[in-house]
Amino acid sequence: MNIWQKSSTPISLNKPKHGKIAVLLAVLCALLLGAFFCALAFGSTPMNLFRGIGDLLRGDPSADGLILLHIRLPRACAAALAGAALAVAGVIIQAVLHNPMAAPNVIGVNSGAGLGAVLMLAVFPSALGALPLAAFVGAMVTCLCIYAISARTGANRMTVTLVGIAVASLLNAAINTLKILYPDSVYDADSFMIGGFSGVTFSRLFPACLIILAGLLVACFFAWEMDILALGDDTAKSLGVNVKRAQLLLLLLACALAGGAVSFSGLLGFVGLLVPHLARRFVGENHRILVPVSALGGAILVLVCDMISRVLFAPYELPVGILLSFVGGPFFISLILVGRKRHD
Amino acid sequence: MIEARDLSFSYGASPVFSDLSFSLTEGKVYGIVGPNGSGKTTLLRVLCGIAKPTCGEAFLDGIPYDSFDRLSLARQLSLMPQFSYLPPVTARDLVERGRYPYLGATRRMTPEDRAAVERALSQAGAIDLAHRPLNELSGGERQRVCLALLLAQDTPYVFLDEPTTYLDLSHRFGLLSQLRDLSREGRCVVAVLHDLPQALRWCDELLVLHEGTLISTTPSEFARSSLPDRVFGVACHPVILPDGREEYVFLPK
Repeated sequence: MNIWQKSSTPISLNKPKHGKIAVLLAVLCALLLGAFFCALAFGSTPMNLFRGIGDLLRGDPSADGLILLHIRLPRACAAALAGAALAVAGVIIQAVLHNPMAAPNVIGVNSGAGLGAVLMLAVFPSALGALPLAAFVGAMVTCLCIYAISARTGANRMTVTLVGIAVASLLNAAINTLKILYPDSVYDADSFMIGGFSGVTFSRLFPACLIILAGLLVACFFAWEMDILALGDDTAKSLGVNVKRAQLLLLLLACALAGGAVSFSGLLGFVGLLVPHLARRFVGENHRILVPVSALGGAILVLVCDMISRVLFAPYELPVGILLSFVGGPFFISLILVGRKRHD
Repeated sequence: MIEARDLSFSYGASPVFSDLSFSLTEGKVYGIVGPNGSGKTTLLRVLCGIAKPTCGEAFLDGIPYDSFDRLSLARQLSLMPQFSYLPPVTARDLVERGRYPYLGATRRMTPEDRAAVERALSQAGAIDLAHRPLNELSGGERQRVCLALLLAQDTPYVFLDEPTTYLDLSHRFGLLSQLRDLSREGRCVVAVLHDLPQALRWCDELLVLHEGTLISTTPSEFARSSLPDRVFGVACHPVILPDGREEYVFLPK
């Protein structure tokens, strides 16, 4: 029998996988909602969530209501937005650089955004509204540098990652220098370097929120391009994708997302690496599904980690960046070990 | 018809080929053959519009490639490269990507797109693999799925770079037979092939690349000429099979 003969299986237009994906998205949405309410309910200060909501609805400025409105609600929104933005930025960077180890914090995009933000604080301490823009510009310049070095040297995946690590180290040194030179302007710089959401307000969150929400929508729209780029440059070109333009646009998008998140969360690590890898294990590498699943997964992870970091040593609070590093570090090592095992 | 006029290509100061002029018509299988490093893949990349020639121009039905936008060209010319990496998605997910040139502004696949994907999977003998992840497939099965990706693009001109590499004999014959079927449907099939007996057996015409020049010939002319010796340093011996067909064996000189 000729193994290439046409199959006798009737052509089916059924798409059973769509049902499973819909269920997964529904479960993730439910988890996100649950995590969001838990983030509102639990914290270093005990409070009754329902009483707080009731007080707010009645216009009664009770302590519970004020904590809910001015501390926990902006903080929960910030955690969800930062998680979604950093996870999707990770998906995009990994697709563009063809490198599963690339992530906004690994290749220095977060550090670039951080340097932009710290530089802005040092030079214009009162221009808090311009922080997302400064973070975006910092992330973009970093990303373009890495991209240019990679393109110029025809670098392979590992070289791109190594270049990114070197650039990140350089940028972190610059941030630390600014901290020393401008100790008054760059207040709370240690928290910024670790990453966390304490002190986030709606007014600080608003401009970044717009950028992130728009960026997430655009990322869903460009999922096809990410799918095609994963097949290699030649196939992408033969399918009609302008590879260089698509890569540049996607990097801009990743920078907008990472820059927006860093502007209020500081240098949160591992979200952009951990979440896309976990999401791939469930939904594979179809970016049309991977992007929304990663966005939801990132939001859930950061919300839950932030909540744990607040209650773990209450009344003391652990910056969420530390907890994410505790979770992300071992995960990164396991990735290397699994890769090594496959190689062997 | 694709017409190449004085095509030249060089990497920096190193010329790969120069002043190649030839034409490719629909309904035929063309084999690009030549020794290692003769520029076969580069010529294929130029012909399918993903690399620009240093000099000269290629025309599709009399219109220069440059006059087409990328998506229009992608609806005419498709390429199956040697994939070094395939993402861990299902076969159907991969083949769906072949419909990218046909997506509208909404980026949603229409029923026609879905039907084209199923047709391509069926035509490539990969419909039974549709739900299976690519990383669980054998080399031959993956190659079938890659062919389905090419077919989903549904172009009159298809280009393949060493499609039989890593395939065992029965899979090779299956794939080459598939390429013949495509040409019978009226498509122009252009494949870089390393295996000379197979190229002679399955191609209608050969494009022989040698020292930066191109010789266009038929398989039987090639076998009877001095080209096997000049280009590959081998001798070609015709063999008559019991059913009367003539095949060719290449031996070192």
